[in-house]
Amino acid sequence: MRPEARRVMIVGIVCVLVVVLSLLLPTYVFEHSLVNYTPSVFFNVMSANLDGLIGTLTGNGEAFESRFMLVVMCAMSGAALGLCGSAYQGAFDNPLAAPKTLGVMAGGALGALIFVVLLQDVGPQMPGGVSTNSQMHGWLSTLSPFEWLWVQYGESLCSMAGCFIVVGIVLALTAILGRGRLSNIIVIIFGQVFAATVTAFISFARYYYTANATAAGIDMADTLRAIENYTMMRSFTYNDLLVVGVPLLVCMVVVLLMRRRLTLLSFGDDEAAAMGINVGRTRYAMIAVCTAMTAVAISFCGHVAFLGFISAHIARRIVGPDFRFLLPASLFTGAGLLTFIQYLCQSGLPFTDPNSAGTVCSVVGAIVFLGLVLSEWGKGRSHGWK
Amino acid sequence: MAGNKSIYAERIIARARELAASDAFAPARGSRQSGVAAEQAKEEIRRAGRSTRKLVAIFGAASAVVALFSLLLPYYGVDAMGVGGTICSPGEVWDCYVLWFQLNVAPLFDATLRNQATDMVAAFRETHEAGLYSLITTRAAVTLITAGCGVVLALSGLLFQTAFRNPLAAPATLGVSDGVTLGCVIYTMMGYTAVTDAPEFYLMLVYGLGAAAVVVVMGLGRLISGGARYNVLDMLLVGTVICQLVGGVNSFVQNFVMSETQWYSFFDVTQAGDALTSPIVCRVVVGVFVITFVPALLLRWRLNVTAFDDEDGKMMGVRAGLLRAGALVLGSIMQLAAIASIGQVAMLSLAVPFLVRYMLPADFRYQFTGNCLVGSFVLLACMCLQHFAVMGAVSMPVGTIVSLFIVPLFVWMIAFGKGRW
Repeated sequence: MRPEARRVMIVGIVCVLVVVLSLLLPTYVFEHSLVNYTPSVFFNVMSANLDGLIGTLTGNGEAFESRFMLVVMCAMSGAALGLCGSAYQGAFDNPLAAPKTLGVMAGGALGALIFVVLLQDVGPQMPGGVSTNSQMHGWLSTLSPFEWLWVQYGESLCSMAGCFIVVGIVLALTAILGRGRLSNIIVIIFGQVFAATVTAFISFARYYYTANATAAGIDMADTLRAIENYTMMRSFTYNDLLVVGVPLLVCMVVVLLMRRRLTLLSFGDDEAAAMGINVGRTRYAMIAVCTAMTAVAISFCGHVAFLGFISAHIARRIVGPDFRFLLPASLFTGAGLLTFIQYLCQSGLPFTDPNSAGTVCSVVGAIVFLGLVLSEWGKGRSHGWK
Repeated sequence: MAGNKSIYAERIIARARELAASDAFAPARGSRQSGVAAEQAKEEIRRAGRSTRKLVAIFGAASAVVALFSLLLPYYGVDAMGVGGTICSPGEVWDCYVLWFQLNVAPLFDATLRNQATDMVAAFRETHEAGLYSLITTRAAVTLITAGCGVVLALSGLLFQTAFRNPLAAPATLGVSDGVTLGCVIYTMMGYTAVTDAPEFYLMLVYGLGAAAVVVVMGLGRLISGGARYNVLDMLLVGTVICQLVGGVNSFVQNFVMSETQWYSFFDVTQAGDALTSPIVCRVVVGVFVITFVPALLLRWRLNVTAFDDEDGKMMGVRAGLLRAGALVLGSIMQLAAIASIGQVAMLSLAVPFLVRYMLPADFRYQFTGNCLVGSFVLLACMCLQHFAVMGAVSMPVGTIVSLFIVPLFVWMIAFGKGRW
């Protein structure tokens, strides 16, 4: 077995361990005094959780379902984001390229803003959509499928549409106006500039609407603030898993199938073309698929796109630059990290709560990355990008 | 880097001269070829000079017009918060400048004038509206500082892109703007609502944290590179990660800790409407302009060398690593000063160098001039536009206007540029 393959396997095993532990360990540990958590209590909680898990998997237990769904959704989104990070870096052949480079995040925030300000008709409602209790289910079943989708996932759908529109504008402008003779550098720069514009506009709109609403006696501040930090911790159901999971799985399979092409792209455009690859088409296909994945992940799970960037770099430091191993490794890294962050948000530590998932993601990702980097410092070897 | 045409051209000329001098017995065909190459190279240099002069003329004139417009804003009745300010005639504006000259410059040459200062001020007050003098002189200071900030922002972007040879290496990568934002967050959390409340403290916080962010990033980058060789990539990565860390903390405080009023004042502090004109801020900013602009001016031909490989640079007697570090420090200080006095307009330093690179040959010396002019023009124009862009009682922050201004420029560049990279 090649050393890279062995490392990928190790990363995969660690990832699975993290997922299982985050299912079994008791939540909100730090909210109570730690004295209450004697080993026997710990053990009891874990075995109860295990029973719940088995019940959920065999289809005869409701109690544990929401937590199981949450962990599965986080693992899937994390996997998708990690894969995106590596694929973006490969497609642009630039270590600083990330899912947010072309404006996915800015687009998502814009879509959410438009939803909250213009389309939302049920008064200020907390992000996370309509609650899915049994009464609502009765009412929801009278709706047509499209209405049902809109009521259930309005904000997420708007946010997704925003992602696609912003990235679409960037790609269309550079592809059509550039008439195919633009280097990827210009695409990246224009993406950044456009994203910065959208972000600046959002922050102004937020200020403007909050000022107006306050003047009119409506308290919109919380709703508008939540746009930039909407939560990933809501109660997920099987329907959510279908809506989010199917597109993510399809996209992940496509990216994994293109792994050899990505490796060739990293030799440079000319070499890749000489080896029989249509560079432009591969790059655009990659961007399209990755944008779709990131859009779905951040629209349903909150602003955690930094995870893609960080897990790609962590995976690269572990298994090296060959995309055949790098892609699975970054997939596992992303899944493990996001599941860990999810658990951390529910652990009751100070400053962590489900609403601040984005911040926890930034801090945890940065600490893990810096730790990894500094642990290699003593060895005196500097990792190049390739 | 591709497209260093004029440098390559100079090399070709030198090579051609060498050939002509050393090899008198070369076959006629070869010498004719090198002669043709030299001719072509000369023609190329001439063309580069022409296009540079044209651009300098266009953007110099544009900057001058916009600066004049900015000075005359009171004449159009436009105040700091949009339309509806004091209206005054150009004659009154002129009177103000004359008074300023009499009060500040003339006494340097004729000491007796100093005794008449109070009389002059009294005479001025009799014939002019109250507050006019301070309005006009503030306007002049704002115009000057804005132009300076534009120059400095564009230059810092140019320095970074040249030093890193990576288009994603905006000065923000080293954490300057996140450090400054953190400073603003702390400043507002302490209960201040405007910069004028405690300008010294504001400056200390903002400059301190901005500089600290850069020092941390550069130090960590250096540590990780193992000290042996300065690995630019490692530093950029660390920079991105630290930015994200600080940005995460910032957004957490903004979203969950600040009260609504604190958030408003934070927005006002970070997205300043006009350049800050409290005396100490002005003094610091002007000092930083001078301190950073002169070394950048002196270094400009040396930075051409970093466009080649480090080996080439060594041969030409330039220590690329040291030069690069110098460029980074200069660029960071420039960025810091500009952001601290006019708010978050870091995008300017990403976009303007690219626009200029599209319009001018890649020689750093041409790029330097072009960036100074285009940067000051864009920022001044946005500052003027900002006074008209008022929605309700809220004036649009200058960062937003800079963005809205630059995107069309970019689209135009992509559509009609000659693809010169």
